[in-house]
Amino acid sequence: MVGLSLGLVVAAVVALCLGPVQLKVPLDPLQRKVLLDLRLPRVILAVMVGAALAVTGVLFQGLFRNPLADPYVLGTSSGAALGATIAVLSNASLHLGGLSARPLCAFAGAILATALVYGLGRMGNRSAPTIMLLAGIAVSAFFSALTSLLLYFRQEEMAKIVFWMMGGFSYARWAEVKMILPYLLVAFLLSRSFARQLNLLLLGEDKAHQLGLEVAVFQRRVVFTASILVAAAVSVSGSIGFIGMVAPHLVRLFIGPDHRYLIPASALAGGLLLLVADSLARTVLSPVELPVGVLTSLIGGPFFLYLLKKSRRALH
Amino acid sequence: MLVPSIPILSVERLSFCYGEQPILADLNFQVPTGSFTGIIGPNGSGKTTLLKCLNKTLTPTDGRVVFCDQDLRGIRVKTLARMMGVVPQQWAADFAFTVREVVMMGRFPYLHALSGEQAADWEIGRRAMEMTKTWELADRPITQLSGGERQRVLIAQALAQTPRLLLLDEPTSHLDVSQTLEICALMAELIRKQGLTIIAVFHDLNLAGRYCDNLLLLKAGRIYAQGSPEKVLTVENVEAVFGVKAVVRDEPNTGKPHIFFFMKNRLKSKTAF
Amino acid sequence: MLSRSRIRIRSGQLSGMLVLLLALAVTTSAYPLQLTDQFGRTLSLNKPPERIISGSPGNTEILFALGLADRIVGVTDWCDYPSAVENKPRIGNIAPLNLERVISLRPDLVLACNLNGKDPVENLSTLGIPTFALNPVSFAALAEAIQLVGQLTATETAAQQLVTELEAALAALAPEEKSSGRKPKVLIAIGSDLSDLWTAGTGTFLDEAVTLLGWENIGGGLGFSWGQINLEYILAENPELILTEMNPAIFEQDPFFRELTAVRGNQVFQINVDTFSRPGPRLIEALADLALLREQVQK
Repeated sequence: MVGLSLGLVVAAVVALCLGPVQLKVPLDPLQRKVLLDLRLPRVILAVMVGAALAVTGVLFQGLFRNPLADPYVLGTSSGAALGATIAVLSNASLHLGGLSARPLCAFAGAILATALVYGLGRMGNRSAPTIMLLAGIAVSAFFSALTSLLLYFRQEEMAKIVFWMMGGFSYARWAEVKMILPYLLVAFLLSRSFARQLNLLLLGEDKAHQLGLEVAVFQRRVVFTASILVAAAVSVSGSIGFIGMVAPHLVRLFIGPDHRYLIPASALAGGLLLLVADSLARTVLSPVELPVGVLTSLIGGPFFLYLLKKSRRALH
Repeated sequence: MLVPSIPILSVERLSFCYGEQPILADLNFQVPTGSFTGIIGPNGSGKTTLLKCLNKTLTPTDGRVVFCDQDLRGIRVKTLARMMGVVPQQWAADFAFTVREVVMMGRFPYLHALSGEQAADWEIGRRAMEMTKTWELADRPITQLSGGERQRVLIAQALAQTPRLLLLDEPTSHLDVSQTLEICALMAELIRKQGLTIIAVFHDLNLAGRYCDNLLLLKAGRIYAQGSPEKVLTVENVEAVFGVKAVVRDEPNTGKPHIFFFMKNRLKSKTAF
Repeated sequence: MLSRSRIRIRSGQLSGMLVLLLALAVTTSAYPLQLTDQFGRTLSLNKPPERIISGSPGNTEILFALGLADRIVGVTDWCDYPSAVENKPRIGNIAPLNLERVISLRPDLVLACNLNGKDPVENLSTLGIPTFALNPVSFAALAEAIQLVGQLTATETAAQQLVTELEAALAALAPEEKSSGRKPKVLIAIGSDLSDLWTAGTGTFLDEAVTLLGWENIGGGLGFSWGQINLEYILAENPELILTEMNPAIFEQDPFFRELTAVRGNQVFQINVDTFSRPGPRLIEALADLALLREQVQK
């Protein structure tokens, strides 16, 4: 954990120094503005989103007892995409606290999608998480289809939306940081308090119940918290894959399955990974910016396969 | 052994259906405090379902369960976990917790949200592991344990809950002969020394007959017979419920009934013994 | 009064001249012709096409400019200029091209473009429909495209006229004296929002025009034709000029953009980006506007 924290700080400092504008001490006003108003919020946002995604990954992997669960299984990212599409296509000139319509509508869309999945998950008497997973698939497909339909009729905006959906931090400013900070703080605190219960849940729903856990109530709380995390993350940065799934696994390899350590460590690891990825994305082909989501999937995919091979036993 | 007059568990008109399918029908029985009650019956007679109804994993479709003088429906899950411990029959261990961590999860119902485990909690956990001879395994990941070792860990976890009632579903199914006897002896000791009440599902009638002082014989979701082993383990009952011929003799050491089974057409002579 | 013998001679001369004219007409007629289109495919036509379908707004505008309005039997849903195009039947999207709809209009020439995609173009040819593809990614290619269309449709004079105008407009862009030293840097800011800026790189008309003006496009030479660039890069390059379709006041209100030399020096100019993205005759007007703009800049 200490290692991770140190690594994060180092990475942050390095990231702050990278970019087309050269920073020379003492800083002139433009350089200072670039450092404080462009790079710093971007670094902070990348870390926050990375942490949010990683923690959500931990929560879902514990909730669904499935190591392949990622933050988007409940349809959050397709809801956000639909919201963002509607915002862009309707040319809404909504401006709240420095935020344009897109992140606001993306957030609304994400929450709507997850609420739908959650509502569907309360029906039936089968295990709620299973129903929710299935509902998530259905809702995801539906919202994606709606988005594609909208884009088909307005093809000239397609590039914009697709680019946004690939994930990126080009528009990271303090306004976005302020927007998601309260949600993330609350959600992180809540997640920490779930640690013991998640441990219990790993033993099986019946066993957790026998040990005194109100399973259904707890599951709802987890879904609620996780949804806030993902909605906040996706609304400012598009859908960035693999961090949410891989960071918990990486951490589990070293720390084990105990959520009391897994949750904070994953947050650090996720933040670090995404920060590195974003820094690469904006410097590798500068001044062209690669979408971060593409980078994380490009690197994440093969890396994940390598992890699987190397540690088949350790996952158990 | 003194048997206090109030039964720890009282079941009235208990019924349970999976949709249209009746599994349990109109069960009425009482479990005396401090007893070792065994639930026996053929496969599919509803033993496991009964256990699940008793620990609120399943909600009965009719009837009620009174535990420690309270209706089970009114007891909150966490409170119930302090009074009732459950040892299930199977348990898939996918995640590499250590034995100690698993056993300490039994203290969950007692922990406060903000504080962690106290010294007293660790002590209870240690005692539970020592009683089940799993202390030596404390730091091993459960994924590396054998079935029998895992079962003992589960018993330790249930004991860590310091319950008044222990429910076990075929607790000796993965244990070898000596382990089986050890666990059964442990259970008897827990009753004697700590005033625990134990309800266990057995598939081995002789084991049930030897250790239990109260038996419930189930057939097709109904109670066919209940009472002391001598009363329940009769030739007629065995034949009626299990469909096999039996010969009952007393055990040499304990004087408890011991059943010898035979296929219906194989019994040569009742007086062979 | 002419004598009979004279009339006979005159009619003989007349018929002789007619035969000569006919012979001339036959030898100078272009049809049947074979032309290579800008996809590298060859097309043979036996006679001037009478039913032409246009596969892109740019092509539509070219056809109208060459006076072929009444020979057009189908245009895409995106074709909106000139206003006379409103009465024309529609064939749907530029991509994917609705082949059945195209075929149902019984064209004898489909003027396609690179936006339709190579496969639909091939499919149309395989189905026996004469298809000619234009791919004007530069002004030179556009000039060639116009002339090819002129040859295809026997409107060479009009085509040549258009090309001459285009070349004149291009020539007007060149700076009067060869400027020594550094070229002024320009940012081409496309989009409706400063938080969502796109820029034109190599392979676009805007980039080419701006370079002809003697300016340096900071988004050029980066390897893409349309793309987004890092805000920091813009700040680091500090362009002296900005061409945009947005209101210049937006730049002055943004905390980052207002520091740029271009914004401080009031060198933010509005242009119509849409006309620059259509390879057609309206580019000539757009270039003329640019030339006027350059004069504003020099002041």
